Amino acid sequence: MPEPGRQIIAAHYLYLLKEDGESLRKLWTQLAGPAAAARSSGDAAGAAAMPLLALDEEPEPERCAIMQCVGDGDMDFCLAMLRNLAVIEVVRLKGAGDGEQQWRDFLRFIDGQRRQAMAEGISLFGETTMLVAPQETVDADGDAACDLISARLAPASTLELPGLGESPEAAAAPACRRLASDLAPELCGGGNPRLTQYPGIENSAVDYFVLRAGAPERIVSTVFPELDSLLKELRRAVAFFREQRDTIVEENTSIDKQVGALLHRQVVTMDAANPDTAELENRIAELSRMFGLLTTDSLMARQADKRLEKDLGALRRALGRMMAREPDSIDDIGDHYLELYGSEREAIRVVSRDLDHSRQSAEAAIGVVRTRIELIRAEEGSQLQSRTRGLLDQMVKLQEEGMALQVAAGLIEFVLIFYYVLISWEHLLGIEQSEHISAVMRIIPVMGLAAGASLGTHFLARSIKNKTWKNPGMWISAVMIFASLAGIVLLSLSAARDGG
Amino acid sequence: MDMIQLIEEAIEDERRAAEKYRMGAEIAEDPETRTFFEQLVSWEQGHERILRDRLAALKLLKDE
Repeated sequence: MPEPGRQIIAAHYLYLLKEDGESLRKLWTQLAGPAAAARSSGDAAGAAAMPLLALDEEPEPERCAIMQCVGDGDMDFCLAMLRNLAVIEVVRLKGAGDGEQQWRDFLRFIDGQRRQAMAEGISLFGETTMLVAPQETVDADGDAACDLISARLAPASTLELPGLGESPEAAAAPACRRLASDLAPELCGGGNPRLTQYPGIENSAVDYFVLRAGAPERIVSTVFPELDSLLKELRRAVAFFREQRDTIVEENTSIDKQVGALLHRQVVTMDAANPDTAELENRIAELSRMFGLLTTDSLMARQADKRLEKDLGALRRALGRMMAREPDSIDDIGDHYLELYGSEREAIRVVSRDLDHSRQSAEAAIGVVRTRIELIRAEEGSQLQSRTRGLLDQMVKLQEEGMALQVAAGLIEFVLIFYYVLISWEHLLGIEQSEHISAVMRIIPVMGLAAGASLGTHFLARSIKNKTWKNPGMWISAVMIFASLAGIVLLSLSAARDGG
Repeated sequence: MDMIQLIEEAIEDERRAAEKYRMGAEIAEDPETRTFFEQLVSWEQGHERILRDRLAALKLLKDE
């Protein structure tokens, strides 16, 4: 930082990501190396001032911590650490001669350094130039100094600032927009300090501020970079989230259309009348894919919202530390950025809510299609049950018919066996001998034989069907047959003896 | 390969391409060809800038 009595007239801030250690080392060597070498050649103790980068040291959260400083008399170079960024501050001190010429020289010096850094492949996160107007100038001429500076900076819609020797009247575009904020006087040694930003050149790679303060050292070295770095982080993050949001909105709209069309087909049109389970299952798979996409998008939107909430909180705190708190003080910078990034956050929250609705729609559509599949399956099951019931009825009927036929066949078999056995017995025994046997005694064994044969046939068929001989009915029938035959033989012998 | 690594490689590719076209512009004999190569250099630098912006955003937000 400048020695007491040296006045700061400008500062330039070069921000890098803290993790880009190599770029930071190269840029620091490029900027501060010559100053340190010059100092060490004139002063042996100066060699010790060459900074050793202490990149592992973490500053207090949200505060700017100066790690190293080196100067050559005209300029000071400081390396400072912030929350996510590192910053190299190049501070121009007032020399002898024309102040405007010194500003111009400083801006040229920075342009040259930037070109060299680009050639070295150094990746800068962002840059800010701040011109410092002393408080006494303001006190003497009102806002004349600020107006002069703004007139020179405002029309610079490109990276090139107009030469300070060129016509300021031509450059003082009436459309030039300024954001002015009153700073806390205690940070600048009292008075009415003010910071003015020129967002009209927002598209440029460099941001431009003008600081009007009696004692700007503290603001320039630590307080301003805390705010400026947050604005740069927010700008970068919001640009990324905006792109992400546009893609998400596009995806979400397309999914909403597809879900709507699918539900319409399912509920209203022909698909509802001619459902196909396989096709419906494909649709569930497609809806599940959409649901997955929406869930991922929703997660991204929530993360963006969370990040912006955190950064906006940090921005509010930084503004609170820097800006004046009097009721009549103005804070255009704070109002502008809080509104701008607050509305970005709100847009992300709207997208997040839309995504929730879309997810619910996709979930509902999955439910509708799944219900449809279940209904189709239930209908198919019912039809199958009905067919099975018909078949069972048919089988019962067939069984009943079979049983009637079986009984009829059994009766016919009985009658035939009875008749032929009776006739055959009489024929074998002879008519005269037969008359010695009473009619009842002739009928009983023949009837037993016929019944045994009929039943035996039935039981034998069952044994063959069941592939088992463990069938008591068949054995009883066999006994009946043998007993009847024995009866016939005994009665025949008895008749022969009586007739003999 | 993660996204950050991929973008870093893409940046390097853009740089190499721009360098090649710059050489083309230097050795071009007719103004049309030189302008053509200069235009290509400008495009490659534009791509590199876009990639660097995206890389910075990804690095800044990667811990979220």
